[in-house]
Amino acid sequence: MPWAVLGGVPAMTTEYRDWLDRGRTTSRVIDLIKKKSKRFRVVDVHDITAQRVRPGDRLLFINRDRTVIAVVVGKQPLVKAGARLIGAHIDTPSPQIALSRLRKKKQTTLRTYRYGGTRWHHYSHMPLALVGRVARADGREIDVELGLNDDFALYIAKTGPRLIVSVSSTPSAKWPGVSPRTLVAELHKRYGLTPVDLEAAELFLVPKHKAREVGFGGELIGAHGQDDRANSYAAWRAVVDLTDTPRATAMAWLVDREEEGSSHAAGAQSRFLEMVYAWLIRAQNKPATEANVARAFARSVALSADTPAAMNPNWLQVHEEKNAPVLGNGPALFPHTGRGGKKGGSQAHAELIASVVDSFKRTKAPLQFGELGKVDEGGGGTIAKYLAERGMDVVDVGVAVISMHSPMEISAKIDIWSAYLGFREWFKQ
Amino acid sequence: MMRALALALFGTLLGGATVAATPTANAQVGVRARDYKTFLDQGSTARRAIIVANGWAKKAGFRIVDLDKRASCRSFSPGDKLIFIWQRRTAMYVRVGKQSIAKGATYVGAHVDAPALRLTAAPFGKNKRGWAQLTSYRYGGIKQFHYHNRALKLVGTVTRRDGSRVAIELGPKQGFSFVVSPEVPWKPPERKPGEPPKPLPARIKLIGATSGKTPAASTKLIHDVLLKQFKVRPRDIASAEIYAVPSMPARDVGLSRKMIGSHGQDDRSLSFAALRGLLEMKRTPNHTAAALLVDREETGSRGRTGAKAPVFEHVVACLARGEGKKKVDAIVQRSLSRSIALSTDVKSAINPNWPEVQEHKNAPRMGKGPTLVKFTGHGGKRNASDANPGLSRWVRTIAARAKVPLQRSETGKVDQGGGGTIAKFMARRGMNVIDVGVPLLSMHAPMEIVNKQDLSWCVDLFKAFYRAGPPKKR
Repeated sequence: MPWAVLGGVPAMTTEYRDWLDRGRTTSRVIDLIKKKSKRFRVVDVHDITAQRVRPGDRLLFINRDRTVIAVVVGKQPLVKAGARLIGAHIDTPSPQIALSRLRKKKQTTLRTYRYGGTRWHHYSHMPLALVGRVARADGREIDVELGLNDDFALYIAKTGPRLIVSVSSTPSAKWPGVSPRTLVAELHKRYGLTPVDLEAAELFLVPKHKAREVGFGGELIGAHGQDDRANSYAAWRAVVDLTDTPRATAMAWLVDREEEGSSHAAGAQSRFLEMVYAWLIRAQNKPATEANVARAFARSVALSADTPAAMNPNWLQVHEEKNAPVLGNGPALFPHTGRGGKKGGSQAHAELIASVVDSFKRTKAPLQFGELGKVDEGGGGTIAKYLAERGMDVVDVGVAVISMHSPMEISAKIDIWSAYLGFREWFKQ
Repeated sequence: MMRALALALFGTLLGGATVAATPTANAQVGVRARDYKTFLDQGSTARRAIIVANGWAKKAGFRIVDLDKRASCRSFSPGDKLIFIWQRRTAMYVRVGKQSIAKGATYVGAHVDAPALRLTAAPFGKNKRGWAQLTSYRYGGIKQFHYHNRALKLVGTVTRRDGSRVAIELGPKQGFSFVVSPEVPWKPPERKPGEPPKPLPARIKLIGATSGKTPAASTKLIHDVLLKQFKVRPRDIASAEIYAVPSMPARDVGLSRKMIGSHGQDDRSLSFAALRGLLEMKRTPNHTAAALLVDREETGSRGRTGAKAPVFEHVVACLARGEGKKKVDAIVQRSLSRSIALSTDVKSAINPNWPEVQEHKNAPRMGKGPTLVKFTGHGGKRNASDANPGLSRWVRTIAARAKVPLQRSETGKVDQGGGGTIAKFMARRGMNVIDVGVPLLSMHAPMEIVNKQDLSWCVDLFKAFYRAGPPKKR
């Protein structure tokens, strides 16, 4: 009975909520991982001097503060046994600030565009905060935030073709001799940033509210950013908690830019994964040739862990009742991704599915089967296809959420816990 | 002087001041804003707002008069501070004046209810597939989609079978929230680009549990929580009044922290100001002064606690009796027709993101002071109490004396926007009434926005209004 294994749920919930509250941007998630992966050594993938790794070594590869690969080196060499990899993304949809107008001194409203499939009206009448990263003119990059942990919030009072955020109470900047508080001024005061610095910035608007428990008895978690910080959390925690050295190398591959099509130097399409494979092969004293990397890929198996939309009781008509995952029944496994024919085939092999099912069964963690309903507005998808392109055998499995892409996505605690248990067991096999 | 002060205050409001604001004025705005946020956070329903208001009034020396007992309307004298309550949801706070009540009184009326989701009489469905759901409907004019995907709490009152009452609050205090989650991204309701989504035809359902259980188990979960926390049985919910309101607290908004964002500011902002002005008034006024905090405005002021109910008549009769008067009915009529009143409700300010729905010359702006509305109403501005110019002048005079800047406005463009207030129900009683409002953004949304300075000016204005009483010549 799955409910019997709930022992670790409260502790995990606390950590997971903290993960969501602090990891508001990709680079902050990376910071969290760096801080919390205690026994892991950060490795520069470009450093190819004679480094050696032994089974059981714990490594972190970080790409541009945007992608991280957490590795536990297995007993068998990578070329021979491949890796067991779980891929997830750590970016999430939210409005992003348009920078072109940001330099105006008197500006008290901000224009935004969508990062990922967000809906404007979800963000209106909601206290918002600004988070992001600015590359200063001198080259240093700093994390900025405004309103997140302050006693004030920003807001949007209308939705329309373009989301406009009001940051100050000035009805207009026409008052003679009065300069309203502007974003530029506030960022200058707080971080010493100049308008020139702000030319190179990546600023998101996120809901100010923190992750919280939802429903009678609080079985659910409501928060922004659970797509896909839910699965990336479970995958990362599973790798960190591997106590014994697994047979095959275990990897949690957490990428950025999934919501924008993964085409970025830190996205799933980036060759960073190849570089990490090559680095590991070389460190295991094998020639890092293209053939060896390809061989290692072909022998690897992967889970693409992304959030499918769970059955929404208020919106049953859009679901296929029998195939839609249900909150609280465990992560959902999707044997067919529905994109199989399109991108080189990510139809999972029966052996891989069996290994996943087996892992969950052994830990008594619930798992459910579904059909991937996540065909996003404008066409999205998971990162499964990018793994499949590399010749890996891959299957989609992930914690389901309702209200996907909204400022308040909802997942079930038991599903997060279950994903963690199942992933950890799967790495061990 | 007034101009200088107003300028100074504008300066602060806008962040970078040209003229330094007086520190006392600034501190007062801050203190009032702080108390106001407490009022919003604790008074999330009409009942709760009245409880908070009573607490403050009692601290200031007010006492409750039981209207049901004839004996309690006895021997009032000038300076008495009285509270009259209806059904725990509507209350009038009275400072007995030096003049007889027959000479008229000064009223400031505001409503303490606010639009929100409300649970139906039988909110527990069959919990198909194990979802623990609650069904709700709209109290007042809300847009359903505003309530999607945000944390809500349940607040209200249940009357148990044995007649005992229990206040319910389920939410952050227990460590969890409720959410309405009606939309999934890949299949939006059909709509034109830029148009907000249509509200769903179905009832709004809050999501209360995971679905990986049997329906019976999830039903039991709800019942257990209610029984354990509040000793309420499911059947008791039929005699309950429970609202689902945003669980976020009132908070400062904007980089200069000059605004407050919260649910329920329509019209708890002016309920607060009406009461606060009365409590801050030190000396006994010449004419009796009263703040009315009334329920049920958002659903048409009907019901025993609405502005249509004979609230004024009862209070005035009681006060007349308290003076030892005999022909009470005649005095009530005379008193009301000699009274002046402010009907105070929030007014939509020019929204920087939505300027086209307002006629800019006739719409209030945030931070420029309370706004005087001669006529409310909709369409061609019908169904409104159109105030007479004499009262309009009197209020302007009072405002000028109190150094409060006053804007002038209508409620929305002619034939487009509009709205009603409780003014017409006061006017019907022969009271000389005019609308005054505080500019507000995002009316009826889960997060409405008010400027702190505007609110503080409202308190100043009401205080001066109570003190001034009716004009000598009418």
